[in-house]
Amino acid sequence: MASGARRPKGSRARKPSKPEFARTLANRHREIEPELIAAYRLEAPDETDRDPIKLLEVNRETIATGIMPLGFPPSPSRGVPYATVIVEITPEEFEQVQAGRLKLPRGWRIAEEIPLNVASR
Amino acid sequence: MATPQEWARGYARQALADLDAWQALAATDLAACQSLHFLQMACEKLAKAHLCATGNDPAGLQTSHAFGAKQLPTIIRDELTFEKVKSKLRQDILRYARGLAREIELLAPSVDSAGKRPDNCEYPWEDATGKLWVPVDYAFPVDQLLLHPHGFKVLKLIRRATERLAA
Repeated sequence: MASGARRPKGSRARKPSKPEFARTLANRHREIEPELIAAYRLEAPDETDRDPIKLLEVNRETIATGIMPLGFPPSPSRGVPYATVIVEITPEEFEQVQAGRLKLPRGWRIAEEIPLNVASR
Repeated sequence: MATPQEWARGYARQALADLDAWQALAATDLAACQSLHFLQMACEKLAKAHLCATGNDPAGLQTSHAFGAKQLPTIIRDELTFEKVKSKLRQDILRYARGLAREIELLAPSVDSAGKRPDNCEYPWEDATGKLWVPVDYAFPVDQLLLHPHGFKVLKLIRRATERLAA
């Protein structure tokens, strides 16, 4: 549905797909976190639709502590239809991930980069 | 064997009890260190609850107190992400939360910023001049940060995040 368009009374919004919601979530994070400079979707080797959305976020303001995934349950009343996992790392730690010196847990791999809307600043 | 979700909920329920204790003690004339100790423990357990939810080994988490400064802002951000207030205000609250989270983490005796911040809410310490400080007499910086309107908002978000996970 186009932004600002009215939904017919009684109809329900379509549940976004996991990739769609991953993009929305990363950009909503970016909106309030100007130092979030890149976001990536992570996938498990045996990823299924029931797995949480996993985001790797590169943030200049975070503290370097290695990979510490934080889990969040779904919260449909707040507009969050999926469970999510956020891994926040510094740009230096991201270089280590790329070089293979810092490992993602459970065989997770970077599936795609999520374009961030810099204009949302 | 308990599932990661059961562990997460267990940590969150205990964090909620710590938050209740903090609020009850903060309303008395006891020294600030007593109530702040519960606030620090609540935030630590909330961070651990979110770490457990992803399948981290709960036993491995129990031995460390250095949780908060890294994870708490991410948890606050999750609460703010879909909040219907202007993004500038959400940015300001999140920035404030980062500073506050660091001060809360420093309340634990085992976290001292490489010796630069020995102040903590449990044990006496000596400063660089050799002066002995006792927590009951100390004015903790975090106490002032909590009085700021953003501090109050951050505390409400911490409570809401804890309640959500404990439910």
